[in-house]
Amino acid sequence: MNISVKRHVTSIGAILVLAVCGQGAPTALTSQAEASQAPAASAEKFDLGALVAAAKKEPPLTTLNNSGVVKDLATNFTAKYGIKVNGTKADSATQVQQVSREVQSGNVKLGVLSIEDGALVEARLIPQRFVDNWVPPDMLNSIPKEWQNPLVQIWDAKVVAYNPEAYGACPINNIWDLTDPKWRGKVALRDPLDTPEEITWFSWLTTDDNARKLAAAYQQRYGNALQTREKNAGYEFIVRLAANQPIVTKSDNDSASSVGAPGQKEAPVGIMSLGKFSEAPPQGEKLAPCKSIRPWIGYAYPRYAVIVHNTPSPNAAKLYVHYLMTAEGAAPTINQHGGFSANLDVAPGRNEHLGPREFWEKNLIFLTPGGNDRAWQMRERLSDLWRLNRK
Amino acid sequence: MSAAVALPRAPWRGTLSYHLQRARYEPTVALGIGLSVIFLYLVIAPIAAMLSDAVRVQFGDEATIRLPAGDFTSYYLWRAFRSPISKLLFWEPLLNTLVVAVGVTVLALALGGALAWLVVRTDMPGQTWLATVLVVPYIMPSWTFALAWLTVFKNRTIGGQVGFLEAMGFHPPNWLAYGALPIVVTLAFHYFPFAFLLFGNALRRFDSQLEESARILGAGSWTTTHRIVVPLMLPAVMSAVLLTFSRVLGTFGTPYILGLPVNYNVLSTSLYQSFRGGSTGVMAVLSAVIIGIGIGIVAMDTWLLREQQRFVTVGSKGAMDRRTRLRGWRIPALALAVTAFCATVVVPLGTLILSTVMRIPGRFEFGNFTADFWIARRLPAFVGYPTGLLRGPDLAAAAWNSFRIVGLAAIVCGLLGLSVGYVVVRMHGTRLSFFLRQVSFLPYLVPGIAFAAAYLSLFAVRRGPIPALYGTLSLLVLVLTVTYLPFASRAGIAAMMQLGREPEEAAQICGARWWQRVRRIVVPIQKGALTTGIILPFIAGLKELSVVIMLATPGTDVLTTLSIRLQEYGYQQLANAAVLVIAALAVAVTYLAQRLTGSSLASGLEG
Repeated sequence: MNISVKRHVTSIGAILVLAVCGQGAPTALTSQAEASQAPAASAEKFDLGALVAAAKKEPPLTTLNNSGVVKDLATNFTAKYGIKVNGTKADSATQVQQVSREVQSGNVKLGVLSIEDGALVEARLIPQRFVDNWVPPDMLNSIPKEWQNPLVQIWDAKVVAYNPEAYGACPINNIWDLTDPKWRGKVALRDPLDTPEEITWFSWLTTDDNARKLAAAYQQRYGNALQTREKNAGYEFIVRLAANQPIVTKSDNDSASSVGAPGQKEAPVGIMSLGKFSEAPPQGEKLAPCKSIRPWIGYAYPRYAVIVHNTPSPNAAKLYVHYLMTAEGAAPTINQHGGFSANLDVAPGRNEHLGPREFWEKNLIFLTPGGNDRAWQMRERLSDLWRLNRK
Repeated sequence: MSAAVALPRAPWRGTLSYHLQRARYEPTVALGIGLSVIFLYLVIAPIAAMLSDAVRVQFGDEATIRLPAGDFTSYYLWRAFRSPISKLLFWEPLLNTLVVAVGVTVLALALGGALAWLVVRTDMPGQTWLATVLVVPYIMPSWTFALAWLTVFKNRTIGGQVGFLEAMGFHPPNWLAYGALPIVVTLAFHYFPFAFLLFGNALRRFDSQLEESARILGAGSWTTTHRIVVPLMLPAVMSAVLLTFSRVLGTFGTPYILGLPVNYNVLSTSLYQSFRGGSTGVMAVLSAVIIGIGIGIVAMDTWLLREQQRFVTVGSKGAMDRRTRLRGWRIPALALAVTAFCATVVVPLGTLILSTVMRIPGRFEFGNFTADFWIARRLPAFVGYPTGLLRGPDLAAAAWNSFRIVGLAAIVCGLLGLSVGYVVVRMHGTRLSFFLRQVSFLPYLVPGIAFAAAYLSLFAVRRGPIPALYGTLSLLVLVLTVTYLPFASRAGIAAMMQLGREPEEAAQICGARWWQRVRRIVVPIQKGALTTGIILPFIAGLKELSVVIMLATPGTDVLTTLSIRLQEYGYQQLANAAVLVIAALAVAVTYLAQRLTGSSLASGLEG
């Protein structure tokens, strides 16, 4: 039996050495990571036909999208170009996990990510070379420069919604109402800890400009100036919102059900995406957007389109990104509930719940890519602030 | 008297060939070493990888910690244990975890033990039927009960569609709808079959002659119980406590559904939040703590069961099985058992089925009932999953994935488990046996989520000869095999413990080689244990969520991740329907397996 024990010890040692040696830096690619470069678009002549021909020779494209419209997009794309696309709905955290793991293991299957967490894309995915940014060269002039890195595909929005059956008109006209005791326990929103665009919105609330507007709105609502121990009115708003016992949900569908369930006399209000206003009526729910809240009715957030590094179908991926930036790529979204493509040549959609672009710019905070850096750095701090103040 | 004669040393070739010869007849040592090496890598290496993550700067955190990625740091430890947020990240979840685990264990053992005694040792009517159906609660996914509870008790606090009671005008208070009470009750309903099976088997194998000898010697029934029955039941009790407590420690689905909405966090949900939020460092720290607790439990269990020979009840002697007569209590006992069955099987399933055919919950009006969520061609409001569950391709694809991944894992697991049991018991007393026993239990105490994370990091890149497995089904098979190894090992060890050496030695005397002995003596006697060692992992794997939720990718969903995804997107009826499908499949598989092997699930899990 002694022989076996000795062999034992040697093998334990060998295995442990193997295991520990295998631990390098947390990611194998950090040593090769370079600073992110300018968008990989050049002013070369763009040949769509050649791209289609090259794409047809590649394996089917796999894409993930925060929104369920990906199924329609995939079907339409395949119908148009004859190239097979597998589209699956997946939230931002899942997309990030999957793409990091695939690229690190060398086993890449994904092609394109339609992802809403811009801050993480800029802070982790691009520097670590998990995804590459590509702007279709023939659209360089129709997409505003500040929306090109990372590439914004489409703008969607989340606004405050109310139940028109319970209240004739929107019962809120100042954003500080959401933190008022009158609405304690009656404000529904998705869990910021699990919703990247929401926590990014928090970081936008704390910029000097927006904090000033918030302070002015407070003055207007309550007649006196805001007293706060926090750095500015933005932080104070977040603290008070957390402390007001909000209905924290896992998805916008849950928020919509909470607000829109029929037969409620004192329905809550909630923050949810525009899509719910189209999806709710068939289910019997009553929802309508609030259109005049000072200073904003909500926020506009982008869905980005980036190409996975070392994807097995690079040309199909480019073609798909190009498709997304056209009118057909935007159609399933903007015709269902509104929003607008980052490609300014694309006309507005048929079904717009809020209003024209001017309305958007006046009443919504735009989470533009320029603020992603700041949003990323503040993420942990704001998450903690939210958690510590929840009652 | 010592004639100091120097014996000639045998040539090394002779020694080697002697050992090889011996190994052919008794390859247990070689088998043991092989298993040890494999398990070491599969079990300890991921844990080592995870622990290393807890003290190294993760990519993306360099700005906060002000150190380059990969450097050693105590930041995550500070954040989890001493920062202002540590109360929410760690201390409260720790307390809640212990409260829930103790509550569930006590409740489940009481329920399971009482029912086991009624079914196995008395003359209550309906015993065979009850023995089968009382196992069903375990066969269903663990969060079935949570969904059913919500379907009835959910109130307005967390949004989404409300439950039946709230829709009918009652307002269930928060402490009833969410948090500790529902979690403890629903998990106890799910886990009591463990205790039921373990106690039932121990009681069944229990030789009533032992009791009768005590009575003959003058002991009253109380003395008999507490000096004969209870001590001999100790392995079963300890097994039940160990299994229940550690499963609850790592359970994710139920606290996620019933606790998170009101911020009632346990360690596993806190871990999941860290994973989702990308805080890999904190996640590793939390996993380390859970492993620590688990190791403590294992240590306790080892210490209590150190004298295994005492528990042999199947040896070379015959046994008798006499039942207690209940007389007037027969019908009340039956009523009790049937109530338990209704509460844990009929009501939850019925509630879920009802919810999947109602458009708006709680409205018992004719127009509100619909079969759309099962068979509609198109559900326009459900973007992304726009068909009834049985129509769309998602369910079939997920089911196919589930079956092949879990099936393969279960078979490998069962065989490994019996081998482990053989080596551990036959080599009892040696360090190898002790080591193998501990290593094969270790995965049990690492919560599925943390173990999956560890496997992700270990197999994310190529390490030496071992390829990167991310994105392949092999990774899932591997992780599931290792996850359920403790089940199979436990069954294997307990079964081998009750099989004395005599039958094998008799065969050896007759000239049988090792493989013949295993094939013709051990396996047939242990048929029940082997079947259990394959079926239990298969059923457990079919309904496994915590392990696969981090490894399955959208597009390669298995049934359980599909259900949770639907739940997360707020498609409540579809999520309930998916869970019902899983439960139905698991029950069908169990029933089939029992018919095929001719053994009942209960008879294999001894202890």
